[in-house]
Amino acid sequence: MQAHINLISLYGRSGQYDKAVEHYRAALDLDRNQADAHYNFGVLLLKQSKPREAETAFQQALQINPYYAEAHNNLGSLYEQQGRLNEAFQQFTEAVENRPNYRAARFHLGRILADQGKYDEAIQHFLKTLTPEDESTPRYLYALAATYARAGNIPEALKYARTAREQAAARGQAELLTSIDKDLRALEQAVTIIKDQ
Amino acid sequence: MKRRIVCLALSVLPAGLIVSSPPTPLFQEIAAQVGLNFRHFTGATGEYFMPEIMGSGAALFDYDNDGDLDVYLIQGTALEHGKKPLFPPPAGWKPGNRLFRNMLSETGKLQFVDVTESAGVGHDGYGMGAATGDYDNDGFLDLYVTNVGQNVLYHNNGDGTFTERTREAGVDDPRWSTGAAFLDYDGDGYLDLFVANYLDFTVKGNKRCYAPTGEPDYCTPMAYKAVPSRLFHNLGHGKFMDVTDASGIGSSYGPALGVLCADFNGDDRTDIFVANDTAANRLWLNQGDGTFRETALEAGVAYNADGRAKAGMGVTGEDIDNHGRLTVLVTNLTREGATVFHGNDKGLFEDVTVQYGLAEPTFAFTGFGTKWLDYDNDGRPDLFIANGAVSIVESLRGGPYPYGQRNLLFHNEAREKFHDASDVAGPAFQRIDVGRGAAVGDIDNDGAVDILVTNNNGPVRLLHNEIGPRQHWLQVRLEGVRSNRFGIGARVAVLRDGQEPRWRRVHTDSSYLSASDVRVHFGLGKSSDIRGVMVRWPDGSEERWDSVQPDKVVVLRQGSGKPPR
Repeated sequence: MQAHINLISLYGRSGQYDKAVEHYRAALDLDRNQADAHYNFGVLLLKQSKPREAETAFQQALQINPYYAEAHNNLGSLYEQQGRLNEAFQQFTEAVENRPNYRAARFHLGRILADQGKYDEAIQHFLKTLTPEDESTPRYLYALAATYARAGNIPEALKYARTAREQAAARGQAELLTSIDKDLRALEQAVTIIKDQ
Repeated sequence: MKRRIVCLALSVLPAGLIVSSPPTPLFQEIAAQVGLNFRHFTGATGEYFMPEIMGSGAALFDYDNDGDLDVYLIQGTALEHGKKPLFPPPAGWKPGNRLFRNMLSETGKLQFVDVTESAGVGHDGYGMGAATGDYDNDGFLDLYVTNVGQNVLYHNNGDGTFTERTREAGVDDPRWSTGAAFLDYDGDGYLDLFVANYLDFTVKGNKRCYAPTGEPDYCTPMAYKAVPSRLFHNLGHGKFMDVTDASGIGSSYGPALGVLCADFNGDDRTDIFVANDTAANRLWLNQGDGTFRETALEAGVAYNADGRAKAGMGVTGEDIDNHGRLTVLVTNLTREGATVFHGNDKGLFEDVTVQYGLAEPTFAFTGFGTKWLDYDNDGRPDLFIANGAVSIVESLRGGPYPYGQRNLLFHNEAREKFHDASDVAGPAFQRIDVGRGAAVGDIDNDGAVDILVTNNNGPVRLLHNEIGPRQHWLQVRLEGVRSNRFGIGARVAVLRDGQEPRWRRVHTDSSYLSASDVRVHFGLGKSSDIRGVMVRWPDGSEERWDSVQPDKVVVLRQGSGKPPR
């Protein structure tokens, strides 16, 4: 069973979708109630740009295991893409409740809250995405800087934007670096204007 | 004629075989004799649902404030309805948790009466554990019950009845909860609540696991994902707030079972230790600002001396050698053995299991409930461990429920050595049960600490202490005024001439899924001399009482003592 579940994911990642589907079916033949099989199949369907089918797969995973944080998170992303923001927010919230150190879900929650003008709450979530550091950290730092800027806290925005820049440069994330540089210049100009006033 | 034959037979016996009388057992099992008729029901139907093998616990607490300990026992149920259970409950069995009232104070005789229905505490979910504490400071201990599914908070009404207040108090949790503990982490005089959560098991998503020989068996925790534990802050007025995220407790977690709330680094704040099953233990150091920092690795309690994360089940902690710091014992799986962490002045711990003589005798057992307790009242905490396997015991293979093991009792020999006293402790320690919870307390107020042991798929056992009353003792119950009513989190010391103060913690937590007597017990040995008793309350204040009589249960009210010298 576990081998089938793993192979759904493995073949999915290498783009061998037919083989992945084969193993999904084999897993269902053995036991229809394996949340991991449905979840891995959902991820595969997302890669194939089949959002409706993916949604069904994640929901099936959650019917079996309502504490499945990754399924909540992916479902939240799907709902957000469809403009169903309240449902997306609910899914991200459940993802964080079931896995409080789930940084991707916190990032999504932070973004939605920032878009709603709830900067303080958004900042609390973004701050919890900063450790441990990995490839996603520059993006999280950048989001935190942007939220501080929108909340009018320019010094904090500058501090985190500079850290984001350093980390993006160190990791060779060129596209992100370009965006940060652009905003950093704007922030520095804003500081100059405030000082001149 | 007959008499002569008997005499002849005796005369040919070698002198070494003539024994005058068997030694008095240290403990006698008396549960059924005193009316504690309870058998744990796992609900097993052959699906090997993991919760079936994990429960359940118990609470020893004086719910009616009549001066004697009552017993609350947690029950399982069918996880999947409509299937015939493999081990049907006996005739006359009543479902749900049971509360047994101790009639000792009323009748002078240790006897229990099932008062579940009149008290209103017979929750019939899939029960796991119990925690006790007076969360609203009304002078009556309340009860929190953990389940596979929704947990339950029972408010003690003070008239022999309880009211379920889970939702209005805001302490619900739908996950598989295990250990729980009341603690006052912010010193505001109101007890907060920590709830340990275990795995993301659901009946529908049950996974199939097998013994090495190919038979179906219970899964290890590795088959599932851990779910985060919860911390609830008591706001007063019967309401709690979930501060799991804000306090930092949610930032790191594992499959949590045993919980111990105590001061681990000597800063007089209550910290939280969590025994994780097959994952590193967690030690949450209280930062004093409503947040906690996880420090198990740096403190030396995450792993054993070999750097291995063991299958942490139960936990117990006390200053067992009067050096002013905790010694923490965690029970683990068969072929792992228990682990003893000895603390120093810097809040760092060292694995001293081998040095204490506890590695080899615990190696062959899966330990669950455990407590440091001074069973012989010699002044040194001894050790009890309830054992029972979670996967098939080879020597019992083919039996109806092949998970049984015997319990262990260790005598503290001083100089950091423990001696396995199980063989001389009496027949109760030769019995093969599937031990889980253990709660300790003096059930008949004779000055000796007794042990309540719960068994998975088996009857409850009450191990009555036969040896303790031979020496002097003292039991202290606190009455907080500024601090929480029962003084949970306080420390109490007996002062004696020519000796260092002997400090003990006021607590009901630790062990496995169980709550023990809130009274603090001191064995005094052969001498009854006491110079006084000192209390360090959770709000930081200290008091001293000089005229304390030994061999009694004394109640010390906050504000009625003298300032310390």
